[in-house]
Amino acid sequence: MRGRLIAASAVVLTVLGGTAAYGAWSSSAALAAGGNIASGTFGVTATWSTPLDTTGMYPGQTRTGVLAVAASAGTTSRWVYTLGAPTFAGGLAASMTAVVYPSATCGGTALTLPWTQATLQAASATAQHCVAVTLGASAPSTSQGKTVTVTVPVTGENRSTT
Amino acid sequence: MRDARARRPGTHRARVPGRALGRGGLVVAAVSAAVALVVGAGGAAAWWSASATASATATAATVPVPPTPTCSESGLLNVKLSFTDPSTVPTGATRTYSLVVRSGSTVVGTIDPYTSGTAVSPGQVGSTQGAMTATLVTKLTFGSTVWTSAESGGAGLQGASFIFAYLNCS
Repeated sequence: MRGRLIAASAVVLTVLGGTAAYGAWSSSAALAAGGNIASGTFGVTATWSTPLDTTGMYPGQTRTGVLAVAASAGTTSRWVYTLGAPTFAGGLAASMTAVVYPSATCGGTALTLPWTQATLQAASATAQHCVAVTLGASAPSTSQGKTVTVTVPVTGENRSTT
Repeated sequence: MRDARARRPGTHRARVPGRALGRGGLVVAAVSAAVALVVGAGGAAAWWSASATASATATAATVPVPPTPTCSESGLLNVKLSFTDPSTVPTGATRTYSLVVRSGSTVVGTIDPYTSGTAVSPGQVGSTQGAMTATLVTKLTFGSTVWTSAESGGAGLQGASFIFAYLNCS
């Protein structure tokens, strides 16, 4: 009788665990040794595979180069990237424009920036984009000899390896 | 009166480890766990990001300075300025020249456009007497925009008169 009463009480307590108190069984075990856990690395590079030669520009002229985007050496994950709008700094800034194309071919429809390449890139992949820089047709004569730095920003993100 | 809670010999309340959460506490915990699982499965992923830039320096051209013109007499009263410009014309541009004549630092005549070998008469330089200098300026027209060069070296002119005003090369 006593045993049944205790058992019954335990059942009741278990059933009523949501309203009064509950107890949990616990168990532990040690993982088997072996293998190392280390953090990976990720970085992105942006270089000119075809230099952007923008010396001696006259009004209305366009010069092109090819931008190469890749993950840094040592990257093992897949990755994606975003191209930002080129910026200009210097005396010619107000007269300069730039467009970026989807591939190394300078033609067709330019990208609307910022633009994200959502297709997963292999760790060792290099993406190329034509960059076309133009000195405005109305650039005044006082623009002669002035300079400007054009910068294309790139942001990359890693993704899983599988 | 017998206490209903009095323990009968041999019986005891079972003690269960843990603390009493109460009904509300357990519900919150269960909901939280469910939320954490849902969030963790679809949106809690975090990626590493990195940035880089590629830069280049653009430079505007400078219109080449034209060569110093060569003065020669043209007829009895006039002179002509001749030159050959070796520079190329940029694509999309039209090139012309302007002849500027000064007496000292004062501009006494401008002929625009000026073509090599074209006669210059005393009247075009205000019938100025004495020494003058003639220089050239290149003008490149790109649609509505005109870029001008610096002035070339000067060719010497001499204004004089004898019944009529005339020009000599000096």
